[in-house]
Amino acid sequence: MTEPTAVKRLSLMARLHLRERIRDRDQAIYGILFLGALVFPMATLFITGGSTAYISQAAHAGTWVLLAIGLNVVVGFAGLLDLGYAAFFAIGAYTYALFASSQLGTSPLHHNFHLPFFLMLIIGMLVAASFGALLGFPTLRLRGDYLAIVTLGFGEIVPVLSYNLPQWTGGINAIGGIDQPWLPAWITGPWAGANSVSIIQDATCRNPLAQTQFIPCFSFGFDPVAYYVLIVILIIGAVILVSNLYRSRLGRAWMAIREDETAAAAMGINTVTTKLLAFAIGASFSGFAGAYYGASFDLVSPDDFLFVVSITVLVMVVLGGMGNISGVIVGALVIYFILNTLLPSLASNAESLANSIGLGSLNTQKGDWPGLYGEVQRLQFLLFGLILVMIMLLRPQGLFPSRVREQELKHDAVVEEETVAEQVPSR
Amino acid sequence: MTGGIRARIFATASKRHKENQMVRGRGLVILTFAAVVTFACGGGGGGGTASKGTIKIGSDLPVCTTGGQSTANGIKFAVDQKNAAGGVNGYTISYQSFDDCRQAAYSADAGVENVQTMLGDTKFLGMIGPYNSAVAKAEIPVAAPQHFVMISPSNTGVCLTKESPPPQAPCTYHAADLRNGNANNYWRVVTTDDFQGPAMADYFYKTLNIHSVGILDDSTVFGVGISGSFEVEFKKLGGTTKHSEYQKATTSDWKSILLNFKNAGALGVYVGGTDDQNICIPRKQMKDLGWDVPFGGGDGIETTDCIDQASGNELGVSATSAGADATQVPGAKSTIDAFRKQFTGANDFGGYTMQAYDAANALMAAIGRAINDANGSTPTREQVRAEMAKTKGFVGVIGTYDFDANGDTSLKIVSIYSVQSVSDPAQSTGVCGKAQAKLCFVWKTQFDFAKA
Amino acid sequence: MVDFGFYIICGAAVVLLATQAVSNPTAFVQITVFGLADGAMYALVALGYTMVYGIIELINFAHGDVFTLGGYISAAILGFFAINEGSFTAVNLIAIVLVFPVVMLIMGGINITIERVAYRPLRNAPRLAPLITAIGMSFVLEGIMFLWHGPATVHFPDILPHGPQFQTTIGGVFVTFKDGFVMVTAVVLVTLLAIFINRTKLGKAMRATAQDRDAAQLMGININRTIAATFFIGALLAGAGGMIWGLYFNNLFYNLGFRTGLVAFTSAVFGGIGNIPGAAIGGVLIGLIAAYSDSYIGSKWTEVVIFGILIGVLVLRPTGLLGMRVPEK
Repeated sequence: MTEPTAVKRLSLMARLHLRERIRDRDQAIYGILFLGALVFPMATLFITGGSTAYISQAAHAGTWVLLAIGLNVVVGFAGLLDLGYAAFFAIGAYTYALFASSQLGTSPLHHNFHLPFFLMLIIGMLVAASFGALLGFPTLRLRGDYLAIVTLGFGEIVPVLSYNLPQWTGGINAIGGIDQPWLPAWITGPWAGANSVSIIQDATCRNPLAQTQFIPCFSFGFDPVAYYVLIVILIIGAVILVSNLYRSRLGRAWMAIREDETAAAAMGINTVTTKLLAFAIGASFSGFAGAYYGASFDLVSPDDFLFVVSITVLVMVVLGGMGNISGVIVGALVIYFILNTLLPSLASNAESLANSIGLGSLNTQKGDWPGLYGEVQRLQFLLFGLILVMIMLLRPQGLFPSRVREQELKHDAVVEEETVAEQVPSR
Repeated sequence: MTGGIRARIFATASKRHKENQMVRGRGLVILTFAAVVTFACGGGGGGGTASKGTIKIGSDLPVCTTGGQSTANGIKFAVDQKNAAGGVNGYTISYQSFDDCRQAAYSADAGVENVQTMLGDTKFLGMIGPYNSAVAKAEIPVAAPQHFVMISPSNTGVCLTKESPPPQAPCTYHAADLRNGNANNYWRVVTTDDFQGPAMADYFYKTLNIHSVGILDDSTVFGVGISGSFEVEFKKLGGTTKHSEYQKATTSDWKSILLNFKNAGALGVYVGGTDDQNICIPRKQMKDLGWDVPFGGGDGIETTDCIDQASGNELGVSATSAGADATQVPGAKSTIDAFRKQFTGANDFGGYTMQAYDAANALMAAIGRAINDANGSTPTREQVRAEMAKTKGFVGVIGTYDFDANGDTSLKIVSIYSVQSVSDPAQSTGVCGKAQAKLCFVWKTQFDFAKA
Repeated sequence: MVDFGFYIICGAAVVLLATQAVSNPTAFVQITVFGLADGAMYALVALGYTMVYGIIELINFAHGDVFTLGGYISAAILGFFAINEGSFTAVNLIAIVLVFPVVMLIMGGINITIERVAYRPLRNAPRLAPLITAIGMSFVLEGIMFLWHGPATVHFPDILPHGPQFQTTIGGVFVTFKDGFVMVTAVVLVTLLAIFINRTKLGKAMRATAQDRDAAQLMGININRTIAATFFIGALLAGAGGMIWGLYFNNLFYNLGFRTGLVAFTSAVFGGIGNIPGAAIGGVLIGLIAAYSDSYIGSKWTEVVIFGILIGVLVLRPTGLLGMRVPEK
């Protein structure tokens, strides 16, 4: 009978050790990500001889990272399934686009607003959060998958509204000509990229102070490096904010609700308020991302906020490892890379591969065969689906599951082993 | 969404994939490959003249669709011809086709990314495209500050270059805002929706003698714009209209909408939209309703897929095309014959192939003049842009024309085609069906708004 | 109290419709006919959603694509027959009668395979994992259809009797053979399903598993087999639905199932998710609402109307029309 105890002690030790290792793992991921973020622009600029195309792609990917971090609060921390996250993203983007372009001039308001980006970043966040609270209030009292279904409906309605109210949102024509962020010229730095260093002292900055020319300012223009730096800073800020939330009293309340809502309520947690906060805070991050998206893309169109967007962000979160911020960031980058770089370039890569290994005849169209390029391009859907299914089957907890979750799973396994050990007569 | 993901995964489909042999895409492998091919072609095609170097032009088209692919063919044909004749002032032109499809449908974001890629490479001095007005709207603000020339072979959206004329709905965005204080960098060789729509309105009202129509649009930029301009003109002529719209995603059954038209006394249906939004399926359902009246639309329905969608009810479909029919332009035939010799596929020649051919030649001509401005060395993008703006009396396949200060062509011809049964589809200048290979769009008449 | 709000909204909708009905009764009845036909097809798809959700609490996103694939496969099989699209021949009739069961069985087999490969291994995994594989399978099925026919609209042979001789006009309202065919087939299939669920042993096992999986297992019910049977039956209906859709509209496209699936899922929630008659009634009602909205409000608002109803139902009457609680977790 002494043996099982020894096993138990050993496994406890192993678990403690594991805990250390896991903590290191997260720190390692953060470290690698941070270094990667630093090296990436220089490396691509060096390799491609000054092409900023990859940096601009990375800056786009950043939007998704922000979205995934936000959805992780709702889905990963509080365990609420949100299938309409894109709606809040849309709300953030439209908030910025409406108040930082000439759009409202043609609306029934007949007045252009050109509020500065960094103010709108906060406002977009607040507006999205209040919509989150507004939607959450009547529905969060309900349990189960109600929320998922309600958010799904909401996510469908928001883009349709922006299609159907062209006098406000520009409808299908979308909102373009959106202001770029600007900074006072004396805050120069690496984001003052090659194309936009010129200090503009006219109304481009559209800032009441700048027009009096007390503060010369420069606009971001469309310089990808500037946006890259901005999004990296925003992501770092978001990560710090969310990690602190996670470790706070509120974070623990979320976890309690996720694990057992009845028990959490019995422990004195106000479940409605707590869930509402998760929902609103999650929404606020997509409002944040929306404002950045509007500025960097200079186009806010209802097409950008369809159901697939919600689904894609959800896939990023689940695939990265629900509840684990570093894992979610990796998940977002992986999915973005697959969808945006890997799959679209597959066709031309296959074509050149066929040429180089002497199968060039495959590339030409013959009868029903659309040529290798066309065929591989058609494969994209299938491949993406297969990738999703395979990853989920191989790693149901995601690539980097949250420490706590993993511990629970390990713990379950250990307990199971012990029961088995107890059942088997000791040898 | 952002960037390209935009996981338009499910997003709207468009036409059939056509393979393309063009070098495309990103990734160093491809670029290297492209460089090798260019080098090889440059050496072979130069015919003894030592090349001074390579100037790149790009195109941004939805090459996953037959429309985009046949348009890209026109550019390739023009560039091949030019290089075979010694290039532009000693420079070899290298053409790279970028694809703005995401999951089988055009995507403004993919387009913006492609433009950013081109802007990132200083060898690119201009581009042909984009194909869709919605993409152009997103791309112009990115390209304008860098004075990067864009020439579209097919954008018909009015507001890209000017304000819509008074009786029509005002623009929801403005050409000046898109350019944001920069000099104009955008031209197009086709005329705009404010002529396409009215042309069909005239055809309906005057030629077919229909005074009441139902108007259906597919809620896309193109569909809303062209059906709006049709409606304005039709009402101006004295007709009555009933307007409805639908979204592809939610509508499979148009019968209630069509019934509303019928009950309102409509004697014809005008659709603003494109076949990839299923705009021709209502034509089939009109038969289910037992309602047999003429059916017209813009260049978005002058396609193979439209004929297929209308299955069983193809005859009586009319479409406009922004430009003159090749049979109506003297001298065009020889170019088209030469093209057909090089591109033999059934779908290789499309409604915008020759427009793209002209656009590419106009761009190369501007580059040639810019090289002279730069005393024989590689010109800057601004020099090319400035020369492009000076284009006068350009002799192209679709006619001889100028560009105004906004970037619009002086050629304002709109042709009207109707589906008919033909004996030899290979000789047809309009497209034919796939299932019904002998039903083709046949040229009917043309309206020249420059003369009017 | 909240139910009260629900009744007020329902009452207001009925009054609004009634005024339309009085002002132009012919058009109203005609639109109702269209709506019933569309709704019958939604109902067939909604049943699959509601059954799967009832038994394993999974929103099976791939279900809409199973429906579309059913249409694609039946179009392909119909190609082997010497069918005549111009008029109705005996071959057409034989083809339809033969292809229906074949397609249903093929789809059933495919859906069982999907369940076996993508959902069963994840039965004890975190709850969202099967949801992601469901999305993945949806992409895979769409990918297969995309690879097969590309993004263009696919023509489905028009082999049902059609034309002026196959429609009756009653007081200005015409009902075509197609409309009748769709409604009758759907009613027959739903009735068969109801009998199966209520009368057979397997049906009983399915109901038991839906109520309490562990208890059912203790009672000696083979859970894996029961769940597989649920997927099989859901796909039978979806396959039939796909073929009916093709026969009715004569057009299919590869991502048709995505939006149709969402609407069908809404129908299932509307009727009370997990509730089989509820899903059927919900489907028909959503079909009607869509048709009325297309005509009286404008089709661009239809989606807002449908999803607005979805949210309204959940907030005001979470049990759906016929009521069955969403299982709490």
